[in-house]
Amino acid sequence: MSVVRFPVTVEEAAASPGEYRAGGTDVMDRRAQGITPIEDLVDLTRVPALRAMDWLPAPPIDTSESPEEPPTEEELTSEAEAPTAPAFDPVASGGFTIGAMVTMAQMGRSEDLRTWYPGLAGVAGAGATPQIRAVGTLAGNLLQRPRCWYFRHPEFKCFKKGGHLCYSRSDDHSLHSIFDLGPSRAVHPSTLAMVLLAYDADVEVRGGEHRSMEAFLGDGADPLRENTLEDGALVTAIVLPPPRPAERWGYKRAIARRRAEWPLVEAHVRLELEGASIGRVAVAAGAVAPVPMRLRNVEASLRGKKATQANLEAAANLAATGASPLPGNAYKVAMLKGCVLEALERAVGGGS
Amino acid sequence: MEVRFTLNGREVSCSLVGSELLLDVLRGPLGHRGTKEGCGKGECGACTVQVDGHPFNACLLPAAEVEGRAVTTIEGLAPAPGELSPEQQAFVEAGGIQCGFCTPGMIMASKALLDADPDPADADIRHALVGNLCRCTGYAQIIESVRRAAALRGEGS
Repeated sequence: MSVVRFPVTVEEAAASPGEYRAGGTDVMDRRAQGITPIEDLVDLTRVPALRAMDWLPAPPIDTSESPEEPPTEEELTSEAEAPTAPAFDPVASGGFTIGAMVTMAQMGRSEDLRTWYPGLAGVAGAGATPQIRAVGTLAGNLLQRPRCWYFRHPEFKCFKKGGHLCYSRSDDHSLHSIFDLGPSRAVHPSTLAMVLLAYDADVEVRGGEHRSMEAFLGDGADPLRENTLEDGALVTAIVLPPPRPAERWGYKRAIARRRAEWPLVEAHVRLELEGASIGRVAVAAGAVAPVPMRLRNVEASLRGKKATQANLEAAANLAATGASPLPGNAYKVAMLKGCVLEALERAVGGGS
Repeated sequence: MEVRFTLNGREVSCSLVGSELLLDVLRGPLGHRGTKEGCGKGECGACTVQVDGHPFNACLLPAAEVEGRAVTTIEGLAPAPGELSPEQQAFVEAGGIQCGFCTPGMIMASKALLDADPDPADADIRHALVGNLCRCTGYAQIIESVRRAAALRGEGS
């Protein structure tokens, strides 16, 4: 029988042979069903370094251009009250880091995330089921394999399993991609990846390398993986940029069940209003392509415009530009525009 | 490998060959068959137990992972032989059971909710039970059972 190893440090984990197991909600099923060859498990639940959540220090201020005058002797010897440490200001921090093994439930409960990154906490705390949120981790969510029914069936050897066919193209592709970015039409399963793409988050890989979410997810062209992580590499944390207090957010998930179901299409929006106009804006969409997508054309059409219904609708109508749906999933084109519009409306309306 | 943990308040140990699931260890060598196996992939919630107070799907959890932790199953709820816990009593009184297969998981998920929120709104109950499927009752009696359980727990406190 296969074994489970329990490393307690990141280095031990990296040196342990076997498949990484985080919350196990995907890997245990793939292993039980024989979908991907998995024998030994490297269980990461006892690595404390992967469970931390904290603010990062602000980057040092570059003073090389205008060096401060050195203090005079009088200043050094004056008995003026020593300055007290300023109150911690998250906005002036270097951002917020979330360990790879932080669970969705912990993210949903985190006061820091709920206060400063409500668009992330809100989605993490409401996804899946209580049982899944209790064990499902941030990095595990990003790295779960697609839910395509051909990929998940042990008898179909598709592109994703080293085969030479995407069965969905000629068979049932009703839940598959409408953007033809690579040989496989399976869509990326991670809602959090889409949200973090909108947040301009970085992925920290063991060794300290930071990779932007966009670079981490890649272009969706390689059917054997849903990201650019090298074999055996270990995600250690996600790093969010400093929070923006004026930001509003909106999320819309088109779903065939009220909760606890994979999205048909989903969209996430972060935006800031400057008076009646839209300033910074980020729009991402999921379940429409092999990787979550930033909809840059939608963002560009909104920036600087008044947040009127007509402008939101005009922007949302650009969401499916470049899509090439299959006969059985053309419904997703209209659904994508609708999700983007509703997420925009929710963001402008105050966030939910 | 030996795994030691607290099961329903008692210290237990069990020898493992490798990556056996908590569900199989509970139902097999530990003889606790109240926890059911439904889908085996974390979707139906029939195998819900509490680990350190949180609801977990025992079908996804290697038994080795509960080393040193506190596991509560449906067998651990009744205060004494022949008695029922408020959650169990409520499901009987409100008719939250038909075939009964989902019931242990439903009750364990309900208990986890009520431990965190003693007076949940209906929307909170529905949200807390999205990971537990019932193919018999249509859920209305189950929601009513959780409401009743909240009331019974309130009376007992």
